[in-house]
Amino acid sequence: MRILIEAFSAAAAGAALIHAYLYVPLLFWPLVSLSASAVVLAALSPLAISRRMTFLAHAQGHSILTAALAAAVPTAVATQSLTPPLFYLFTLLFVILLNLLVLAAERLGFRKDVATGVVMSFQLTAAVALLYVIRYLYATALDPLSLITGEYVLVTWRDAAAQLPLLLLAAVFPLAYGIRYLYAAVDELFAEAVGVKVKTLDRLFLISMSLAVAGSVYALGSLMPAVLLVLPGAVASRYSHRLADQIPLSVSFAALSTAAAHFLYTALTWLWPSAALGITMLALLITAPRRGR
Amino acid sequence: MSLVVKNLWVLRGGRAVLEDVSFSAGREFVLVAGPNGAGKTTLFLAVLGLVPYRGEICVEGLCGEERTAKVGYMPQHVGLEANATVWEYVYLPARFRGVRDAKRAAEEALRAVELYDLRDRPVASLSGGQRQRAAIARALAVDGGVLLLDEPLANVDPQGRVELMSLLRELKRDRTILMTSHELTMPSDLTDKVLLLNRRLIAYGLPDDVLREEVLSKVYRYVRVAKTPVGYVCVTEDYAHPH
Repeated sequence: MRILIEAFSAAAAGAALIHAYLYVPLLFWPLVSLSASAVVLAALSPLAISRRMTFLAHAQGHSILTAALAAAVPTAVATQSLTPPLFYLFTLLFVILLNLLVLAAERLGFRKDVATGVVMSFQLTAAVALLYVIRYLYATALDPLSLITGEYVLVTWRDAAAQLPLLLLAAVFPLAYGIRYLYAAVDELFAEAVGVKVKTLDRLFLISMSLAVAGSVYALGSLMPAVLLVLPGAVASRYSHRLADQIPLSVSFAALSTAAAHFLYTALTWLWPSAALGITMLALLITAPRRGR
Repeated sequence: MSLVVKNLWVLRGGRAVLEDVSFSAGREFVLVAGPNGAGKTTLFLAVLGLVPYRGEICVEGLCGEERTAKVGYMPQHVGLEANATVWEYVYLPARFRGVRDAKRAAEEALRAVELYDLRDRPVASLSGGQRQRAAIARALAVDGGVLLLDEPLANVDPQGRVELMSLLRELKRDRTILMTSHELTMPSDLTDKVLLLNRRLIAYGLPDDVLREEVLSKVYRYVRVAKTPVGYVCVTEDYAHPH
């Protein structure tokens, strides 16, 4: 089953890229960027789900919006536009800071979900304030809506190249520690007993998630990374009970959805690609088999 | 001696959870008894190096962190609601621990608990008794001679209990096994020693010496003990948690 899904997803992703290259060249680099973002976020998705970090993963939508808005201000001051390398750098910085705030709030004695909620409340307040600041000071240089929806059709090879280092770095964690981290979700105490440093992995996971969302924000916008941190893993868990299958299946479903989103977008141009991606993911989830115990 | 514990102190939140505990065990089965909060699980966590402690703990002559590679552990709460097959549940920890030929170790462990044929099943689909056996297999796959079992009899039906006892009889031949249990009714051919704990070491010795009303009444409010031809029947009730 897994090999079949992987092969089908790879074929679909290849077909979408060839289609974009040959028939809609304007969408080729946006599709490359979207595919790379989706695949890396999907590799992290089973980890977020299994470690009961779905709430935190969803909170990424809020952190990335706040971080992107906060990053837009110094980027606009420096370049009068959202130039990717600098914008990514500032976004990453603010995302990591906001994620570390969750750990700081936990140290105040809050449970993980409460700490995330407290930081999210702060982020939402800051986002509203920053939206107003951007509209007031940089109305001609920045469109806050593009921070939410992403700049999909404007993505060039330079933008894709700029996001690549962040996504590659983000991919190191699931590749190197994915199975260990998934096992920590099976039994944290036992994992520690056999030498898995679960707390360290938690921190590395947060950093990896920050890198992935910061690298995705230009193409995907600030909200969709949160969707891709949850849905691919949720779909994968419906198809296999094998721990080793979760990341490959999650990545496959993300690649398949990206391909489907590309064809949907070229057919229905009023449907924004990242929204098409989310819709495809939801369709996969709804049609996924219910796994018997 | 396989396991030597000397002057062990564990503090949590400024309070002593274990005070000056010393004992040693060879290749034998030790029942670790005591009321709730006596420090039984903490003792295991200290042996595994998972809680800070003062004192000395040596396993098969190794007294540093490296001793943990010689210890197999079955936690009190076995988490089995995740995506994993029985094989992954047992094999992966052995791989993480760096056990030489982890695949073979996992295979032998699963065969020992008679779960090898179910290796491709999801762990979440196992029955209560099978889950306990899977958890023991996991501990066996990584162990190096000392096996710590925390409440393996909890939530096991009478048939599962009989099977588990039979398995433990096999395992204790070449291992040191420490097992905590609130259930002190034990077959006499299984239990070599009893360690009675209530933050301090209250008693440690042969079952005949420890499973006695005058000894157990030091930590339990209500105690009745009877020795039958096949083992000890003990009825106890905590001071702290009366039924």
